[in-house]
Amino acid sequence: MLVLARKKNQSIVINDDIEIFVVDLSHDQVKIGIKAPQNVTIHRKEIYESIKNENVQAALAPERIKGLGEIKAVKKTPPKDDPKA
Amino acid sequence: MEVIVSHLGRIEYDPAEVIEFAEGLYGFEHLHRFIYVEAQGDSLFGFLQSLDDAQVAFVVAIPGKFIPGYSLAIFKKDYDYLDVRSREELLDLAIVTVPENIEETSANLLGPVLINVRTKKGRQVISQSTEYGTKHRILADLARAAV
Repeated sequence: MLVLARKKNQSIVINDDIEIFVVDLSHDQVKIGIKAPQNVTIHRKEIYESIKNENVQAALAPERIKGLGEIKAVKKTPPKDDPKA
Repeated sequence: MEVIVSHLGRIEYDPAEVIEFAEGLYGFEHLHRFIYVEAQGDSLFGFLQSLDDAQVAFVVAIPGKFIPGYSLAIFKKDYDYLDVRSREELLDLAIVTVPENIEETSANLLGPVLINVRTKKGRQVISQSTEYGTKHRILADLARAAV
């Protein structure tokens, strides 16, 4: 991994068209600004991680197929604990 | 017709119906070919079955059909990537997690799975809206939708 030291208001350019700024610094947090073309996807890493973890949990284990039948049974009658139902 | 045998049973499918996920799904980047199977007798649910690994299948639901007020919010670049020309071409699904406790069944609305039904291209995207998370409980809404 490339590691560069930058001060507040300095930036890094990636691939000619992506620029990353250090906008502000506090003792344990950095505010980063990003200028990039519309088609570039930028998200906090935790978002990716949460979706990935959810996919792994959701991947259908054989024993869960039975659960689907139970969902259908629930659908026939609204759950008791739902005040809006 | 071709056949895949998985936990869901024996599924016959037309090769023309294969959906190509060039990037795979998050956490399953190595799986590129899936088929979408509607659940029998239930228009809200279906399955995404991997053809590259028969062990991998997901329960999916169409959130727009049963979650009140739900609307898909995705970035234009994702529409462009999938070459979506009209809303009718777009099938938007949410992966459903069915945990041990059925009451906690949830849909991942933060990472919707989009399929262009014309081109058979698919992509899991990250919602533009943070209104919904990865564990949106759905059982109450499903019960209402069925009444």
